[in-house]
Amino acid sequence: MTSAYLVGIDMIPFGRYPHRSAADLGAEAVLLALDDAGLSINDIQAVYAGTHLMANALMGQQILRQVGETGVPIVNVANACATGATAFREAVLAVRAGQYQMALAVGIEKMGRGLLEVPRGIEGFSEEGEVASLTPPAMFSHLGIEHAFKYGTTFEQFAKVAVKNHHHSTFNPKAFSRRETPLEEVMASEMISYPNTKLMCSINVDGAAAAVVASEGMMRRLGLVARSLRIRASVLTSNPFVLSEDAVTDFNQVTRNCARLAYEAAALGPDDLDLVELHDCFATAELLHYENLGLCGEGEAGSLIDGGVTAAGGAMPVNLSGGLLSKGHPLGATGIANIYEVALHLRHEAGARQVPDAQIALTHVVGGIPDLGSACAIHVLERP
Amino acid sequence: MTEETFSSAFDYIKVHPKSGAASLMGSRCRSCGTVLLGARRACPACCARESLEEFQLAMAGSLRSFTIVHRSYPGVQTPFIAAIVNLDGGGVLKGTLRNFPADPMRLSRGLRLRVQFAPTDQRDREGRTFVCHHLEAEPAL
Repeated sequence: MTSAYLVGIDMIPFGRYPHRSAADLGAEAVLLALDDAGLSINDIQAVYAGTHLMANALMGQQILRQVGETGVPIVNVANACATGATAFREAVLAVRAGQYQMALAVGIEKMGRGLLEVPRGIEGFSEEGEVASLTPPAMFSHLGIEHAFKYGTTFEQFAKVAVKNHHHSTFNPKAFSRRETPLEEVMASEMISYPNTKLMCSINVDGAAAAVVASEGMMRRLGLVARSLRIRASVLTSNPFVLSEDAVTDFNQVTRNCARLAYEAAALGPDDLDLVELHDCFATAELLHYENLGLCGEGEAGSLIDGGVTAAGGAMPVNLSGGLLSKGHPLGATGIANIYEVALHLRHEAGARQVPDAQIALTHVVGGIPDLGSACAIHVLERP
Repeated sequence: MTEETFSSAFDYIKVHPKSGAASLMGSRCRSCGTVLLGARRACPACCARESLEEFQLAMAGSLRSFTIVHRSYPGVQTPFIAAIVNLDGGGVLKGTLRNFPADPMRLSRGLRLRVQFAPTDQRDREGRTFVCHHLEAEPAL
């Protein structure tokens, strides 16, 4: 099996593009990613296109209509918030298997405003409020309170995640929201679903990101060695059975299983990472994932955020991009945008937020739908 | 005009079509002992086939987690408490906790809860009233 390398990647600034189609946003991201590597669409032998909310729209074909209809195989991918990373992994697998020398992954989403709607159960019965809540913030608030019940994690500790990530966003021109939010402001902002306030929820924005993956041979042949990154792990898991799944979708065990496999595949551990981009769809989620990814021991997530370990300049910086809390969270684009952020650091092109001498980084996304299931994808990348 | 006047809001709730009397329907795996809500084709935990048997879930349990929902979908009255309860003897159930103050300080781990059923104000296509469960705190002894 050959190694796969990330040779080109970019994202459009996440934001609101009411007058542009999803395909147009995706096409812009594809051209940016090709330009990043000095490539043409004619160099691409397969396309993996991710969108969750428009899963039936042949998004990959729509994008190639914009940038060049080369007739290559296109696979359209939907996997909740893991959609973009799932598309990226398909490109990695195809290259590793030797099927293609160069593949493109693109993730796109155009989001509505407000709470995401989810597919319903029994026809005609509207369960929201009658039987708990199907809203995404409620789901991640349940998981946060579970952690609080076990370990005494506080509302203030959860809120500090938003303070940190919003601070990071002030260094990222591609984030949707770029402003400091002091702790008092985060805690006093509108309560959405206790303990997540409005400033502790990711923002629904439009976005697109794209990446080009190449085999080692192709990378060398095209002279792309200098800025290429080795993909040391590319892992996808679905939710394993957990006893609580009838009440709340699993985001913890699915991440733990994925992390274990990713560390095995990369033959390294959390201590070897220079930075992490993880799925902070809600502030409560970030603390859970510190433990799920092994960045600290069980029950230590609260003290990790208190100690500034995961802030810029800390020993294990997390979500230097500003995270989903600041960048915004266009579902299908998020997984590739996370990879874009770590690629900037590993190429030493991250400007004001650069992690000094970054060598190895991990990206994590996990998506799920109440009562249905979840998907987690983790990538480990290395500067050669 | 149908004689049936009640129907179930979820496939894990059994509702008597005439009286509206309801109960939780669960399954237990003979191979691995897993208890879950409703029925499945095979055990989701150990994958054994033809090992799930109907299991009477308890109508009481202890609070596993909660959230107080302040922002919900349009038309849904807020705030309300969404609670998750570990049922005595197995099974995990979510429900709205009614008649309890929406105060996080009052919602402690292990709080004793019981499962109640009531007709809702929603009807299915045949005009039958949906019956579903909610949660209430057990009265202090």
